Order: sequence, then structure tokens, then C-alpha cells
Amino acid sequence: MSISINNLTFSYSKSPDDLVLNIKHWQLHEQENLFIHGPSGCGKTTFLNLISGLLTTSNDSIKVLQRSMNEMKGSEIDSFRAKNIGYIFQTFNLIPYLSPIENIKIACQFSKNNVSQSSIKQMLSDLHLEAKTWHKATHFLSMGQKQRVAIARALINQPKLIIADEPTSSLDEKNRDIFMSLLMEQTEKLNCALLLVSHDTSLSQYFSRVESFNDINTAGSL
Amino acid sequence: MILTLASKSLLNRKGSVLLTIIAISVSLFVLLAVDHLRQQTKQGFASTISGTDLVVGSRTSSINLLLYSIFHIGTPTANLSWKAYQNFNSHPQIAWTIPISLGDSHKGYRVMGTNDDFFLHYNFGNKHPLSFSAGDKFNDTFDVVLGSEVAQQLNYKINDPIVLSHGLVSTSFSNHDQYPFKIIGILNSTGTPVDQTLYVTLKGIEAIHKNWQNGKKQNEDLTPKNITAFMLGLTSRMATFDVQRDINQYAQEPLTAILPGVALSELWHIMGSVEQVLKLISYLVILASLLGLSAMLVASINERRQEIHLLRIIGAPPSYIFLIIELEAILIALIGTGLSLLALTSALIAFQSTLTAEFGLHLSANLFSMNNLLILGLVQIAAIIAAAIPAAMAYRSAQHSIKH
Repeated sequence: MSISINNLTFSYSKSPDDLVLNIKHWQLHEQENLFIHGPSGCGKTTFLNLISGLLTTSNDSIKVLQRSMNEMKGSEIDSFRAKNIGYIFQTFNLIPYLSPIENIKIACQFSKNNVSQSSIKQMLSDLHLEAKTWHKATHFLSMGQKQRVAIARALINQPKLIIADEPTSSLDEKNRDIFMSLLMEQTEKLNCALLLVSHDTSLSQYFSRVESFNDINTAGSL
Repeated sequence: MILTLASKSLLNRKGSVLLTIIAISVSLFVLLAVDHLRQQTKQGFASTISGTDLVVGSRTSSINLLLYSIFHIGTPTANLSWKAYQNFNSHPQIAWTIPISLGDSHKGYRVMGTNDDFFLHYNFGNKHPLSFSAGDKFNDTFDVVLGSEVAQQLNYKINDPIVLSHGLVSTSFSNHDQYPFKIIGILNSTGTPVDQTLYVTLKGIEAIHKNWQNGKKQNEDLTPKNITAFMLGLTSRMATFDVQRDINQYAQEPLTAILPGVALSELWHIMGSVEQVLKLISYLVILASLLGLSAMLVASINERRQEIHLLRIIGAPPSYIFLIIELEAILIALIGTGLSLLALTSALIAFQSTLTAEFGLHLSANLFSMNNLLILGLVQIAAIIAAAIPAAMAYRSAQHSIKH
């Protein structure tokens, strides 16, 4: 099981009336590809932050890769995340003043994973990034190129889980299609689970399992 | 990797980082320059006179006497008579004396009338005697011996004739033209006011003044009536206070005898408060520049929230974020320190000859004293402390780097 959630409630304030999340039971299987769609502001990012350990709950309601998130200490969660979870955002996936290669190396540093320069370059060319972009600061790259470097950054440590939060929302149609097919191709190669969250329902075509976030989260619905 | 991250992040913010570096190096420049000047002046003053037990002049304050007789700063208030000088010259507890007669100049350099005892007994630094780089001591009434700086700056050689002027201005109208002096010796460099002085015989001084005043010329008694001051060495140091009392209580004439070391420390005591104020100001300037560093980093953290969030997502612990900010501060402080040392060293080298000529200050361009290293070390620590505020902010931001 990649993720399993039982009786999760979460709110930013102390009052129990302001629940952001209320999830009875939800699971993501190993190597499963899941697309969750939902409008913005419905708690999707909070949900993802809880799974990645940036937010914590007081009870034992979230298990990621068989480990209970509230059992780990802060530093343990950080290195657990570095090793096991690859994250892709809508924007700002890369340190703008570092090159693609340096960005990927930083990710390897936190996972204490010794990845050779050549395997980084191999990955970048698998993602159709030309060699002339490898050593340029990433703020010179186009949005499409940046998102493809972000895939490389997320996958370099061979994580068991990829979380993508609106990864295509800054891309045009053509780049979105390139991005999605490369992402699906790479996750399949790695045999990892993929959890993609977006408001764009047209992405459903790539996934075997599709859910609406409002079906998962009952908070706010009376 | 963290170093690459910190340095590339600084390069990415060239403008503000460069200004901060300049602010730090300017403030360090001020601090180091003030401190260096202070140390070097003290050292210069202390090394100017050595082995002299007492300095004697007509009644005046000890600091004034010390400054005009030894350092040639300011003007003598009154002279003492040749008779009084002779009287103490034969004092049983006094081993040697050096007469000093001031008042003339040559192209802006002071002229001091004295006798051969000066070259025998005057010591500088750590009891170094004077030595000649060319020529020898006085041989004739109109012989002149040059300090090394005078010879070098005015490009004089042995046997060149020179003319003295009355008073101290190089454009003086009253030149003693009819009496050219002949250069007989040139002293080795000492790093003291000796280098900027011309030495002539007492008789030579007397001769030019007599004839300048009266228009007469030859064959007169050239024994001086007055001298400005004299230095003396004792047969035994134990006698210092006895002899000092003898001189101060000399019935014929009001005289002052001072211990050069004591007078110097009196001078430092007066200068002390000025020094403290200068030090305080330069430390405040440093503080201001470090606060500037802190402010720059605080501003940068607000711009870098996304970057911090990203680093957290890929597994950086909050302590890593803290470390990056500290590392950036240390890099800035180190570069600022390097720049200030470079700037001050080049300034010292560039202005060395001007400072020597104008103020008689010999400044070493070597800044690597224990004291300076300590100051620079403390500044690095202060930079680390100043960066703790923004680093802690970044740490907190890293702990709660959640976009709702």
C-alpha cells in the first residue's frame, strides 16, 4: 500500500467546526496511477502536504509506504521525504539560479543518494532536454523545459511515490501533452505510484483510476 | 553543494550583495586604518628616543618640551643659556649630553644645530645607534649631515652645497645665502624624525645668525649664547630623580628636565580619550554595516519563501535553511574583509611617501598584527551573530513553509 488514510480530520484553527479535511477511509495502492480532480481551494494542497509530512496530525491516521507519519521525528520525515517522495508543483520546481544538473544534484544530496553525472544526463536526454540547457541557470528555460526538468528532479532518487500538484496548469496544450506522456512513461519505468491532483479533467485520459476530491473529503459537505 | 547554493544565490542578487560587501569593507577600512595609524604612531613615537635619560629645556610643560625638542612638532617657547648647558655638561652624574638648537630650515625640512655627540650617543628604536650611509661626522663649521629622507627626496650627494633659511617655510625670504653649507655625511634610515632633519654644527648656526643680523663676517667667537634644549645620559639610572631635581631647582635659570618615557605616557593619556572616541566611532560604523547585512538578508528571505519551500519539499531540514543564510553572511563578511585589507594595504603603499614627508609618520603596510587578526576574527563572529536574525526567520519560515 502506498498511502492509507483512516479517519483523518484536519483544521488550521482549533475550532472543530472549521474542518478542512475529513476523510474516513482512502487508499492508494502500490504502482497505482491516480488522478484526483477538484476545484481550487477545496483542500487538495493541504491533503498533499499531510501526505508529504510538511503538515502533521496528532493521531495515527496517515500511513505512507507502511510508515505512520506522526511516529517520525521532523528530521526523519525530511529524509524520508527526500528518499521516497518525488514532488512536482505547478511552478517553482527549481532553484532559478542553478542549472538543471545542479538542481537535480541538490535533490540527491538530501536523499544521500550517489547518482553519477552521467545518469543525470541520461535522464535529462530521456526527457528531451537538449544538452545546451543542462548547464544554464533554469530561469533561462521555457516553462515546458522547466516542468520536464522537474520530472527528472522528482524521479532521480527512484522514489516509490510521485505527487504532482497541478503540474500542467502553467503549460499550453502541446507542452501539456508532451509533459503528461513523459511523466506516465517515466513512472511506469520506475514502477512507482503516481498521485496527480488537478482541476483540469481532461487529464483523466492518462489514468486508470480517477476520483473527485469532493468524494474523498467530506468536510464542508453537510 | 551547500557552498555552491549559497554562492550562486549571492551571485543571483549581485546588486544588493555588492553594496553590502562595499559597506562592510568601507567600515572595516575605517576601523583598521584608525587602529593601524594609532599603533604605528605610538610605535613611531616610542622608537624615536631610546637610551636618553632626561631631556632638558627652559621652563615649560613636559609634553611641549618633548614634542618640540625630539619630534620637532610645534615651536620652542624659550631658550636656555649656554652657561647652564655647560654647567650640567660637567655634572658628575651626567655621562653625556647632546645640545639641540632649532629654528632654521631647508626646503621645509628642519635644521638642528648640535655637535658630534649627537652621532655618538643618540639612540633610536631598541637602542640602535645612528650610522652613516655615506660620509662622516662634522669636520668643519659649515658641514651638514642629512637624514636619509632629506637626501633621498632632494636628491643630494656628498659635497653638494646647500643654503639654510630662517624660520620654517620653504619659501622663506630670509635665506642665509652668503653661507653655503657643504654636505659631509648622510645617515641611514631610522624611521624616526631624524630622517627628515638636517644636522649642522652649533657654530655654523651661530655664524649665519650673527652675520645675518649684523652684516659682519669673519673671525668672531662662534660659541653660541643659547641653545633650545639638550638631551642627557646618566652614569647610573639610579641618579635619574636626583639629577632631575638638580636641574628643576637650578637657581640661575628656570629649567625643566623630563623623562621622555613619562612625558610620552602623559601624551598618550591625553590622546587616550580621543583614541577611545575614534575607536567607538569605528566600531559603530562596523555595527551599522553589519545591521545593513542583516537587513539585506531579511529582505532576501521574503523574496525567497518559494525557494525555501522547494528546498523543504525535496527534503532539506530547517537547519539546512538556517545554515545557508549564515553561510551567505560569512561569505559576504569574508569578501568584505579581504577587500578592506586589499584597499588599506594599497592606500598605505600609495600614500606612504606623502605621509612620511608631511607628518613624519612611517607607516608599515603590513596589517597582519595579532591585534588586527583578532579584530577581523571578531568581525566574522559579529557577522554570524548579525545573520542569526534572518537565519532564524528563514528557519521559522522553513518550519511553516506551507502554502494554504
